[in-house]
Amino acid sequence: MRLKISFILPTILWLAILSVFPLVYSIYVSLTDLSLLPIARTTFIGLQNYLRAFTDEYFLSSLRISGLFTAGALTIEFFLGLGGALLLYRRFCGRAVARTLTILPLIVTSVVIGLVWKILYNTQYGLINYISRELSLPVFPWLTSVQTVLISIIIVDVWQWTPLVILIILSGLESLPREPFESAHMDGASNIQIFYYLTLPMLRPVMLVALLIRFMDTIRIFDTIYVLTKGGPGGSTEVISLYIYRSVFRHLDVGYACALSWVTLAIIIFASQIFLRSILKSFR
Amino acid sequence: MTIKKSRLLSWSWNILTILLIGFFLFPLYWLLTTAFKKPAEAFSIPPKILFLPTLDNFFKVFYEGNFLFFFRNSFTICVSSSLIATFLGALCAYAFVRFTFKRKEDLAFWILSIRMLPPVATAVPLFILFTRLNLIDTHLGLMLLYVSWGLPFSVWMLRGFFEGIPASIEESAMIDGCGYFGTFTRISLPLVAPGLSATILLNLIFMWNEFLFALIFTQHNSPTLPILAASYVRGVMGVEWAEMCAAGTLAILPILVIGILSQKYFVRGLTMGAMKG
Repeated sequence: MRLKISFILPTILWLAILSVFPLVYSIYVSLTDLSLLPIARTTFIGLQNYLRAFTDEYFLSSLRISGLFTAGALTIEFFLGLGGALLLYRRFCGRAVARTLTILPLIVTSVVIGLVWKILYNTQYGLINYISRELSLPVFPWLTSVQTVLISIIIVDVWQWTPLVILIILSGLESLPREPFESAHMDGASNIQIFYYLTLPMLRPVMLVALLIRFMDTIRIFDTIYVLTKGGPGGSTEVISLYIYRSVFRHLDVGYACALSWVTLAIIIFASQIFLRSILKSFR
Repeated sequence: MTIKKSRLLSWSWNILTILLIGFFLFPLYWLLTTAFKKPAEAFSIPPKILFLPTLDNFFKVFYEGNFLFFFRNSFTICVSSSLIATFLGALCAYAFVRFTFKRKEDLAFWILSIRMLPPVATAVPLFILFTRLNLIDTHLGLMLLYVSWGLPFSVWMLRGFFEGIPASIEESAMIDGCGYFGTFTRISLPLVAPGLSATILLNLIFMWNEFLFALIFTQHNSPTLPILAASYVRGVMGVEWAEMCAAGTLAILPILVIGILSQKYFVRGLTMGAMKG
């Protein structure tokens, strides 16, 4: 018995100290006005931070921006991912190489991705606008205009994470049973019919898993946006993580930042529950 | 379908596939080529497609940018954290698979749920804690954090692999006199070797690319490569682009290689075992 415990003990202890304890501590801190200013005194203020969060225009704005960003990114990644998975499912010469090349965006450091796209997006010298000018297409100030910046960062996220959606749906496609498709073919169904009435419904759980995972990741996004816009022209791309980061390291308002984190977590859990219910339902 | 139509369709799919791959590759291609351009050419209108490559930027990154310092930090911290997390995670995963104890599934779910948190949530209290313990800006500090990140991931990855070992093999080992730990090290671990290496490599990739914690918890002594890459953001426009791309290329090179080697397990790793790769 003691041996059994010793197997799991290191892990549990490590996580307890470095993950659980900080969380508990942060609940306590969120009920105070703890600040990183050396001269400040900490007083217990109860739920004041939480009440403040609900009327904080910057926090609400970050919720809205995160929501828009997530909705936009998820939609594009879903359709592009589905299409990509279907394309890479076909048998063609060089398929293995194509699949390997597709996952490269997943491996590259987020910060480096942000930097490259920053170069490409540059209004005067960037490649994107250069090509647009050459082709007489409209030129946009991608990262410096409030109208276009959100789309710009969505595109970067799409570039980086669509391969994951592709991989997930691809493995789903490859684990589908053959028989339904064979019988459908023999019954004379067209390819489009097979896709719409057979493939899609059978892929539903897989697609929901992909969406759930991407949802949890886009809500928490930090790296690329920090490098690309640091919150954007006039705070127009300040997503939740960036605002919490600003609360801690600019305003030094740690108590409030902790409260914000918990509110965010509650939102994530609530939204994930909805996703999970749909996944479980489609398994029946 | 007539022959012409199906061939046309087939070609359209091929073209679309090429466009897709091109879309994913192009920024990386641009990164690589810009790294070899002279600074003036990197930032010119029109952007140069043909140019004479130069290694100047790489030299600059090494000598002036102190690349090796950041690389050494990334290497030490990530490799050790990855190994520790994988090994401790293996112990834990093995226990989940072979032993029964109270509330096992609750414990497993709790370990998984840690991943759902926004990193900022744990970063803030940990920052306060680490400041008091003088762990800010140390290798040890970041290692502690990275291991605690890698543990849930390793447990869930390896759990699937251990479940693939038939219990009978281990039972015969124990009958022959190996204790629990002996069986673990001599029989079970070698049998999940591919899973172990995949977990180590995947851990390595995620830790290598990690930015937020590195940003918060390091300053002068132990900054990692992503910090070096991000430091170029503040450079005056255009002057440092070529250098920046050289730094970026070097920063991602090691894990690109590792990633390609471990791609088989990517889906499993990135979806926490929800899908088999």
